[in-house]
Amino acid sequence: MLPYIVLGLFAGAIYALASLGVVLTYRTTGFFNFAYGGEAMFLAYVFWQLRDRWHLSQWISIPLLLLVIAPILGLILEGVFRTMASRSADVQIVVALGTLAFFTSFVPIVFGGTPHPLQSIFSPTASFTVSGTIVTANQAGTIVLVVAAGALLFALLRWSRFGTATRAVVDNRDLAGLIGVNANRVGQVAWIIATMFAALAGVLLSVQENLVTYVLPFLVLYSFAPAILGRLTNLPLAFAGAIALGVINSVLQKYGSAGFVAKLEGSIPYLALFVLLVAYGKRLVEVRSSVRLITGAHVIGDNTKRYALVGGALAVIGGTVLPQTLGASTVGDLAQAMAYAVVALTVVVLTGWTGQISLAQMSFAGIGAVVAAHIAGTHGGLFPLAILVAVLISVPVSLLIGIPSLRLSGLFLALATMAFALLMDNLVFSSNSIGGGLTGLNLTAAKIGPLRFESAQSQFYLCGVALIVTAFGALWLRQGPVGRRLQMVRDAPDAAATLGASLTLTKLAVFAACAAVASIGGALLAITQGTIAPVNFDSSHSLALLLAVVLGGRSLISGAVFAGGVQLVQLLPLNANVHTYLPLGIAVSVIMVAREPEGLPRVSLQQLRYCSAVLYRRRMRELLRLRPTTARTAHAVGSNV
Amino acid sequence: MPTPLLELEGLSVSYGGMRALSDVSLVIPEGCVVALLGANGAGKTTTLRAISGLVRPDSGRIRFRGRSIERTSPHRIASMGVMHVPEGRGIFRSLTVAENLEMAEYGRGEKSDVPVVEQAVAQFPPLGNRLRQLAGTLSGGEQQMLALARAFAAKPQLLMLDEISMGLAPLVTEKLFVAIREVAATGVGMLLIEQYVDAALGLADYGYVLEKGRIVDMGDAGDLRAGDALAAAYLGAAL
Repeated sequence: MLPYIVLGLFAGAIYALASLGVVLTYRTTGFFNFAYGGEAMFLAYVFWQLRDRWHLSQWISIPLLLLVIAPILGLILEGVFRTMASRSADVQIVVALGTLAFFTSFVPIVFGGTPHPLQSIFSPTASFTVSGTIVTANQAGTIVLVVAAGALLFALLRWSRFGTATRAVVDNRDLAGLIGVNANRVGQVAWIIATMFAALAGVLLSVQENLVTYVLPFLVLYSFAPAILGRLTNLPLAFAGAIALGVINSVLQKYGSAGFVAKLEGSIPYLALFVLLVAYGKRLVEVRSSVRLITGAHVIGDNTKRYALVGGALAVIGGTVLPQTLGASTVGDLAQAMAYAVVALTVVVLTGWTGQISLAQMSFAGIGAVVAAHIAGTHGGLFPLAILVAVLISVPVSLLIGIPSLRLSGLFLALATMAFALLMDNLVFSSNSIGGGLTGLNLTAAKIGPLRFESAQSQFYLCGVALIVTAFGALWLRQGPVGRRLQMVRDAPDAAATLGASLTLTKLAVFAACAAVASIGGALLAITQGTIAPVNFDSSHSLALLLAVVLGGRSLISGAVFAGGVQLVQLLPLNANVHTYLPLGIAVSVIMVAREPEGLPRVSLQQLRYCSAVLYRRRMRELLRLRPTTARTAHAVGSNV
Repeated sequence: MPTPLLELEGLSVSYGGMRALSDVSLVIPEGCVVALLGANGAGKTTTLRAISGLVRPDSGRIRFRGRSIERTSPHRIASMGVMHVPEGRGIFRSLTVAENLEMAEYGRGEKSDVPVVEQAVAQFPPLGNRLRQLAGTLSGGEQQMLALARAFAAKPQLLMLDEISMGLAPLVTEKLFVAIREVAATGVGMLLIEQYVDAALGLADYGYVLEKGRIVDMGDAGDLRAGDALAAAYLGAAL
């Protein structure tokens, strides 16, 4: 037993460090840092670059990392996030997710994508024995280092003047300002400390797990469960929770390191995250939620007919011309992009229209794809039945997530769906019998009645029709009573709540409908892909989908089409650089336009108008009128202190 | 005329397009206590929030000792010696009483000769045996004592009190007023918002009457008490 406990303490210690970092910034600045894993990974790579590539002494590279690079990064991030402080919760979450995507796409470009081992910062070979159990210097050093860092932070907050000021800011930010505390400075220090912890956690974790760009950010997500255990405010509880999680996980290994138990081990942090969110429910309170009014709610109104006309005309022209002129493989890619756009539409409805951030839409699509492949399989005959089954599975699953977590506000719903998506990755899609293992699943020539969808052209028409039907379904939803309710929920959740409890039901119904549509979209994706690799439906793809929709305009149907376009670019056989830099470009643009519900096209249009106005030397007042109007309302309604 | 302690000139503030203050001008001479009177929603609290930097005015000037502060951030204004005790218990509930008091010196960045805690206990003895307790667990009156004690300990040059008596028993209110009077006697400038108009005017040298975001009357505290404009401001123009 003891070896497992030591191992658990060691692993738990690293997550404890990360939990402290996440809680610290949330508590002091109200910003939940989804990007923490990305930072940790980036800083671990920086350390590797300093010590192992440039061969700097450890005595130089560690202080350089912790005392110079990490604080600078922390200050930069604080600066980025502070500009978002008065924005609504969904904008803040999107910016944080964009930052995560930035790190995961930036690091492979700068440092190369191949995994590297990282040697311990402690003696790599030394070890000692405690009552028969070998403890390596790395393990002991890690534990000691983390406990010391935690104790130092605790002492700083508890007993120093700065600590009292920090707690005062957490307690009542406005009042702290009134008695002379610079809340921004406090926030900066919190970010610096948190980023230093990220650097430490990243290095310590990489020693254990190697430097792998697609693993490290997700491992740091383990720390979210303890952070929630401390209700994002209690540092000691978060610390203890992380250690406990590490030990439980490790002790489980004693009872099996293969098969389902092994998978369960990797899933316990996510399971814990989900269970804790549900268990705490309304007792989770968002810091500074009073200033987070939803900004820039967009009203479609009379534009619908124009949209329908333009969209319909484009569809007719595109539908007649494209399949005839383009090669079969391009037409197939187009079909796939349209199926993707169907899934993207559910993000528009959820995020753009109800202000709920779901990080699990691709998981629902994955359910559809996997079910379609299993039922329709190689003969393709039972495809309609497959769709029915996919809906019958995804709707109850969505209710299972939705019923407990829709009571939660934006951030916590995002976390709950993320936990669900990660559980799906770990437990369901990775199972050989469900997900088909490394070879994946096959679906050829799906049949609906007398129609066979084997050729690229037929798939193009199928997906095109599906996209148009879904788009009109969404518009219909939007304009009816349901849409009005959604608008209410999005604009003023509290005011909407006072008007009746049915809103929860409306939200739930929309969530379930979106899950159903996403799973149908997934089944369509399965048809167009032929071979289904469940890894294409994992949580990182849900994230990519969300970001693409935000970029295209999360309150617009065309935002979903834009996301389909992004997918198309990734499918087409273009220059490799395009594929490498596209995710980075998306991440950076998302951070820049997250505040704008109509996304990049709208911002570009504004910039264009601005430029033309400058060129034509319009009067200054006219220039000012072209500025986004959403910015002003955010600060407008302040509560009394 | 010497530079006044605080001077508002044509101050206008709005919340999301809604005008809360229009063209408010007001002067607090050194060492004077000024009462700000008016019905609910007249703009009293907004005036205080504008002075302490919590809301940015659309137009107009705020000068503290001749220095423009309408674009200065709240913590800077506080460090200059403007202490605003906001409406509804201006304390940090999750900090202990002692920590709350120690925060008084944070903005000033210097220690006073008599430790703040000792000073506060001398002023408000009930706080003495509650120093290690979380401030949120105090009774309403004690919380307000704590807020006042901290404000006094910060040694402000201008003290702004917003409805300090709200929700308190008359006896407790009286005690607080005694303390406020003592501090006023030391020459600290004050701007008061108070539901007990008589008590406020009894303490004040001057009063300003706000109605729908505009100053409708001002004058000597005694004159105001006698005049009609005050009642009109509270009860509507019919009187």
